[in-house]
Amino acid sequence: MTAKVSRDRPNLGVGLLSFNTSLVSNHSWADSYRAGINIARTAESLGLESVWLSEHHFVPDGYCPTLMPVAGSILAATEKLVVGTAVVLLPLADPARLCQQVRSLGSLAQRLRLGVALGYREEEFKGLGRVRRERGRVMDRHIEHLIDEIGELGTLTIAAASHVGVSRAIKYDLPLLIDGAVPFSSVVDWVNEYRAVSDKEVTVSRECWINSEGVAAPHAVADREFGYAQYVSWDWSDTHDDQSNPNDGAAMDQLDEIIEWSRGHWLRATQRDFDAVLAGLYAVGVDRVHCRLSWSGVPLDEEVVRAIAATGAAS
Amino acid sequence: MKIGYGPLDVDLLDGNEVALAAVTLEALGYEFIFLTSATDALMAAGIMSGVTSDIRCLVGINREIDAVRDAEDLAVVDQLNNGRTGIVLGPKALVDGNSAEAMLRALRGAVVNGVRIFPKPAQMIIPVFAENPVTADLETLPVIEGLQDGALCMLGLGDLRDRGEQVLEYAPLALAISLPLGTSLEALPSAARVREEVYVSERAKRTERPIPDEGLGPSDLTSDFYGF
Repeated sequence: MTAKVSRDRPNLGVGLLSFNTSLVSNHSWADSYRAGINIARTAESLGLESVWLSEHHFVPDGYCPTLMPVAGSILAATEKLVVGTAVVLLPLADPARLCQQVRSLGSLAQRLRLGVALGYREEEFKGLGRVRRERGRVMDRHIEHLIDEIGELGTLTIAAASHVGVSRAIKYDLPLLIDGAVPFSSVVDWVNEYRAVSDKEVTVSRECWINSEGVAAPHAVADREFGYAQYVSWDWSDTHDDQSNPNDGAAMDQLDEIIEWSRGHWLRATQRDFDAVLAGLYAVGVDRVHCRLSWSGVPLDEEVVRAIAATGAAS
Repeated sequence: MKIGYGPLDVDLLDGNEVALAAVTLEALGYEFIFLTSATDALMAAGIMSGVTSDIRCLVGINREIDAVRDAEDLAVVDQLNNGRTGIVLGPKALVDGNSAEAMLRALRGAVVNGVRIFPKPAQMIIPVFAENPVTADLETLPVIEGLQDGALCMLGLGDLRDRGEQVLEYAPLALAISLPLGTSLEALPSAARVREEVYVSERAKRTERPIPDEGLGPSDLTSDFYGF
């Protein structure tokens, strides 16, 4: 099994690359993929340790539906960057196909972190011929298949957005990835619980809005908040085939509430924030933190990657 | 006629070797790589997109098709390399015509299994798709009916001078050159040199058909076959 990485402080990475296009962008999906590869190269050149990819199926904005070919592209385009999936929706996957994809990377898979989780969107389960209520059992069956077939290749990692994920990582003695929406206090509790029984890698994802002095202007933060507002109000059904968003209804009514809740769990990345978060996570034994921007509208871009790298480097 | 390399059996290669092969072939001027097979080929096309800028990837699928997942993988790979992806469907993939058709419909944004595939490919190229074998080598070429525009022919490098002209009689849109198994790509001549070998005679020059502006397709054959 993968050994815990030893260092003075957690490694810093960025995510999530989802390759969708926004309502306010004229970019094509091909532009989005090209920009994503460039972001990965930039992250590596700035000394960041990892980038993370995100998957959803059948989404009108082009959200990436399959991560392994993208991981292969980034791994080939870089030399030492870790490429993580956050996450492959494992109950929706064909486990034999996924194993084959990991194997085909060969030595490139040494830099892969195959983060897996349950998935939740009903449309995705229907579209891929799976039953949502069976996802837990299917998840366990697929994990066991992956362990049998690829072992340590690709570093299978269990993602946790609830405590069930932590229990699953402990049960299978696999590395742990804690989702960015988990409150910081829970992160600490979960890591302590995991560390009591395992020395495998622990990665923590944190939502991150850059507003550090001199790094990103307040208007940039406002743009990103606007982008998130669009994201959470998106109609994620598969009933339309263009990039316009027909949803101006119920989701919008709850928007302020959702954003206010989310803000409470997100890292606003000033220098002081970074110092506190990294020190706090290192104290409980976290190996890696990736700062993620996961909403549409204003996707992760090179400016933000540079800001994260600069702020992290100064910590 | 496009000059490419293949088949490249990528399941015999490490990911780094796949990347190196792509860089080497692009530097030698080859216009496409024919990758086999299936899931490995799709992954190889993804890997190659990270290190190349011009060369096209023809993905050979010769196993049972998983309409939704294959369409998703193909669509993403095609976005990654900005429309430089093509599909070559072998006989095993065509056993279940419904699955093949569903995959192709999904790639064009149709609803399949109650869902619509996003993102749609920018320029999905299908150089060969017919009821006849699509991976015909020169040994069988003379007896195969139906080879026409859109056909992919394959030829060993050693047979180039003797039989290249014969290939042209069938006017393929693409010719894939290959080396004997285990031979390093360092032994490969440039694509320009291969072209010179093929067009060794005046008769061959007269035989060639105009090269379409957009290279490999999509072909009318495909459109007619599936009614797109």
